[in-house]
Amino acid sequence: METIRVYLDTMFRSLPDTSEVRRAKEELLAMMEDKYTELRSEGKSENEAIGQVIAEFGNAEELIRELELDSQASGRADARSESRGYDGPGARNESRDYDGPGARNESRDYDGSGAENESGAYDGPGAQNESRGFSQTETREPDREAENGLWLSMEDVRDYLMAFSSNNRLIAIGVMLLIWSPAFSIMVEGFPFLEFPGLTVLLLFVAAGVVLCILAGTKRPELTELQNARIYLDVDTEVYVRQGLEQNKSVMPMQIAAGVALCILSCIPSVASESLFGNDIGAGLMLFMVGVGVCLFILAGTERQKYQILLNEQ
Amino acid sequence: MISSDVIRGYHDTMILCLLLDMPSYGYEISRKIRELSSEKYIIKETTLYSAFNRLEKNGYVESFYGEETNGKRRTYYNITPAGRAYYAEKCREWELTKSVIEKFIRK
Repeated sequence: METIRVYLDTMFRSLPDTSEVRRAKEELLAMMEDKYTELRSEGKSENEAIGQVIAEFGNAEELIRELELDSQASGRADARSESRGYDGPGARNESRDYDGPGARNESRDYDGSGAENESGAYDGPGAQNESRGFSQTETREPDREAENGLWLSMEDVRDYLMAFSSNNRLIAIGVMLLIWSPAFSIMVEGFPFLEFPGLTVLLLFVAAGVVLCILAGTKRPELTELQNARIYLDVDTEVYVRQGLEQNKSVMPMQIAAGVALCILSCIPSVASESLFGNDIGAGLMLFMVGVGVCLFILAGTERQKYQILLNEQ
Repeated sequence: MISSDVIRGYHDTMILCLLLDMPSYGYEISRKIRELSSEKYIIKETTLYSAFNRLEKNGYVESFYGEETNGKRRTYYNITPAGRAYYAEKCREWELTKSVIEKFIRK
């Protein structure tokens, strides 16, 4: 029970001590304690009961917003999108319908105070600060519900799409370099004096490939973490993203086809050079073609995801 | 899981419905919503409190303190005539919404 009290205290820590706030805290505590008592009487252990009470408690930011805004805009409750039953974009409108300073100050005041960072998500400037870093300030737990939304502007979306694409390219090129790495070494097999340079080239390619893959790999979790949040976009931005997705849908099969064709055709140099020059050049060319083919596969496979994440279609 | 955007407009309706016959308090409403929806919808405490707050500000419910044997007083909520009218309005709105949306649902 004490845990519940402490949980509420933490949540209310940064709020002013008005009668409104005190009343909210008292009522919420009562509700949580009643729930706890009932869960215990159903046979649940103390930990289970507390866990369930806290898990089902809800979204602190929504509450904080409600308390702050109610004291600033009393009597305008009917302007809330909530009672209009609005959908995604509407939830964003909620914070915009109110006085600019009211909604914005909220995210400024709470910056740096632990869990309340999330409240920045509802608001133009707040959301931008957060989404520039992409999930650097996001500390949300996976079982928090869809009310944890993130609003992204057109600019945020463009940045995100570019960042995601360069990440995809890094991985694709990194893998390609790894595939290419033994090619030179194989091609100069007949010439013993080129053995050492061959090895050097191999290692250079491997090093470059590994570096690119590591660079891309460390940045990737940030990008894909966005799929855990509910993204809100305004109409123009959503249209832009959907257009991108449509384009991708028409381009992707061709990329994959090209990749497959390259991998199949890569046998040709190998077969041709056996009869014309000697095996080795052919094998090198084959690796070259396979490398490019795989690069195309990877690009094709990863590009669609960024659109899907933005449209909450994962 | 029902999307919170979808259910957002009907929290008031659910709460007022449960207050039609008798006053009630926070957790009891939460429990009844859970039971009546057969566990299909569980309202969060913050959402519930926000709804109570809003309903009271709009004059659709009034709150009063009830007696509690263990010394703690509990806030009870009572529906007002304005609340009943608003509830009826929301019911009409739902019927209308339902009839419109059904046209777009292919079975």
